[in-house]
Amino acid sequence: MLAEKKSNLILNIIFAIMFVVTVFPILLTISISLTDSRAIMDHGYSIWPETFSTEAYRYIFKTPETILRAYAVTIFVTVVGATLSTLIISLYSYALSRKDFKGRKVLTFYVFITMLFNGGTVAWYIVCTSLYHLSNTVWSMILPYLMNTWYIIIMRTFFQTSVPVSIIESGKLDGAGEWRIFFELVIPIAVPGIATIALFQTLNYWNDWWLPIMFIVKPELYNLQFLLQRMMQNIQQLNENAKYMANASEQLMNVPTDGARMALCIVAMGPILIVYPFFQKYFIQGLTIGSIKG
Amino acid sequence: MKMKKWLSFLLAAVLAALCLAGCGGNQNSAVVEEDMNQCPEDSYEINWYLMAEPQSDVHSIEAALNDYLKDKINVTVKINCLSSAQYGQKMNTMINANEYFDLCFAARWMLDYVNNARAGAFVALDDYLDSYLKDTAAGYNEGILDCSRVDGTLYALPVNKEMATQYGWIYRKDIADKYNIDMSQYKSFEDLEPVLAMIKENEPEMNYPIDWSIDTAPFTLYQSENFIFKDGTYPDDTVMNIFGTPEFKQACETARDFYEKGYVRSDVLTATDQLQRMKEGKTFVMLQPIKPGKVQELFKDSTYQFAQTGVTQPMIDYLAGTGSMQAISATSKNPVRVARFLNILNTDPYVKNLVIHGIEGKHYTKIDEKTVEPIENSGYDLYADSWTIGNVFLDYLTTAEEPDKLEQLKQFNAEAKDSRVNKFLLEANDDVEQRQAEISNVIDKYKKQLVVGAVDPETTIPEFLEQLDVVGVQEQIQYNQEQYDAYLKTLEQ
Repeated sequence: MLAEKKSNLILNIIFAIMFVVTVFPILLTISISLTDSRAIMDHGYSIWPETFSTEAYRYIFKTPETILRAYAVTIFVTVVGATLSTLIISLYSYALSRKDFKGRKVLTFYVFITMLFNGGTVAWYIVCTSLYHLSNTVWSMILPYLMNTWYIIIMRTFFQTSVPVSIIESGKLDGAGEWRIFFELVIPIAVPGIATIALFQTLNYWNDWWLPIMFIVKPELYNLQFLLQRMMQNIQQLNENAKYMANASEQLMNVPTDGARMALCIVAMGPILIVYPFFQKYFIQGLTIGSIKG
Repeated sequence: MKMKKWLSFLLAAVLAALCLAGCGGNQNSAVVEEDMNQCPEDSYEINWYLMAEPQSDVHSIEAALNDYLKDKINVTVKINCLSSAQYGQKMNTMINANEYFDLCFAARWMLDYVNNARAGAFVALDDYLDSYLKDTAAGYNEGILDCSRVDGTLYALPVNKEMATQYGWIYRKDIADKYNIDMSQYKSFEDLEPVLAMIKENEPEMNYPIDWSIDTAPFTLYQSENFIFKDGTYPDDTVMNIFGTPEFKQACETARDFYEKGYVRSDVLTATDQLQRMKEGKTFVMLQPIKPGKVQELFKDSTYQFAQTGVTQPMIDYLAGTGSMQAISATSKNPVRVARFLNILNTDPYVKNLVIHGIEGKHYTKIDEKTVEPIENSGYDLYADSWTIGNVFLDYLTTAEEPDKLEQLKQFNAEAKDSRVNKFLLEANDDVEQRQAEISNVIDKYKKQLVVGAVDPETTIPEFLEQLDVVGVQEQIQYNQEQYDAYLKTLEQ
């Protein structure tokens, strides 16, 4: 009893420390975004705003179209991309998990090989631009991440271990077709696995700035993370290359303040925080509910 | 057995793909010559990539350009602005993928002009200099185009702008006047120390009278004054490890001394807001690369007064010809027409000012013949990027600048000293590149901390040098020396 209490206490302390370590940077970011820029210059960062100011938020919403448009692009890409990719990954890996499926070995091998070897950025870029003509389309930010071989392997193993063959057979005996078996019997059992993949893919799509760098030239199609990334990178570029850009004085002076950068971080981070608890519900549920009784 | 069959199938597929890719590339049509005095009948669209912040009203500029150019060379222009964060990565991938575009910004420090030129990414322009680019070529100071050549061939046209680098102090003029300080008499950081001590004591607002980053710390001045060349040559033509020189040690010690005495801020290693602080009046002086009109450009709407004064001689260095250029892509379908457009961009004030300022009445108001006032939030203003485009001597100035800025700039160029090392380019094979990468990793790790004064040079420099020896800096020096000697020989001929 006493030992249990003790270990509980230790566990609690460990988790409390982890909580502080993860939450502190976020609180600091919020605080900096709400501090007057002169106060930051004078006193540095602090966890409580020295002089309160919403100047940073007003600065980034000065031209609200840019940010709102980026929001729309990000949300569209995330919703469509995560939904489609979860569906495709689940379908593909379910097929691979079925021992009675003939093409199983070939398709597994195909996935496996592409996971280990790939053609490199340039080949990939040529396929996306010359073959599929994705440059400057919203699809360039969705299609390249649709299939994720690593998640397919994970999901295949998940289906194999958590969906018993007897359930599929019982469905067959009752006269259900393959689609019905998949959507009505297999998916409800596999929710935890699918929710995990969906969460990962949601994060992948939400946090992506690499695809816009490669494919997007039109400012209308910039997404939120790209705006953020661009702002940070520009600052870095300007500082690293200041000696080459003797003429670039004006850009150097237009660098956004620390506050504005942090404010954009908060704006970009906001909605995804709401998604987390939603998925968490499924994790816990899925882990505790079994499928075959008796 | 089954596995084997699959592997062979896979191999065959890969080979087939490679073959197709091989056949697909390099379908460049032969160059079609054109008559300079005639407007061609077929229209051509020029896909132009600029390193600049994207502008929302770019379409009206394109329309105005197309109207103007239709009767001259019959082209339409598509302007693509990519911010510096995206530019290098995107353009490099496009070049490697052999993707079509016509014209782009390139420099030695962005888009790796030298290596991309050697790899055949850009059209050689030497043949055009007497024909399609004749007017442009006449506008350069002597020798500048030689600085832009790679292995004897010109692959891009440098932007005609300030062609020399000079370092100098930028400082708060009101404070200097108050204490009767004549900044032009201070020629080193060490000389400046008493002034800094005095300011620190008497001006409580200025906690840190001086500020710097890696490129504006004491070492910069040493490097610039002794003219220790980028790849490490001393004036007497011996290549050496600049980090082992007494000058480097002295510079780091000065930086460390100022850091410990509190003349420079304690977070100097990570700070990026040096110029912003200066603008807010919190710093007295900084070393900066200067040119005529620099402080007006930097602090155009500050409440304080600023001034600048030169410390080093203006020097034509390797950046003169390769610091900012326009290159025609090897994938362009009509390089001749693009060259003709480049010629107009470099010589026609209307086109240049349309591209940087926008349309009169819509994006700027004209004050007089050569002065404009930008309209705020008009959706187009690339004036800040003028130094990446064409010829800055054609620019209309803004009201915030000194009216004789361009004449001063010409004077500056005329007075600049040339150096014979600025055309030297190192040739490298894979092994050497590997070694260079390792060396620069070590340099990245130590140089910044040492130069800004954040660590003690007494203990860190020996460690730094040891690490450099481990990755083979001696071999590299020897290699550079051989190449440099060969270069000097060709120079004598």
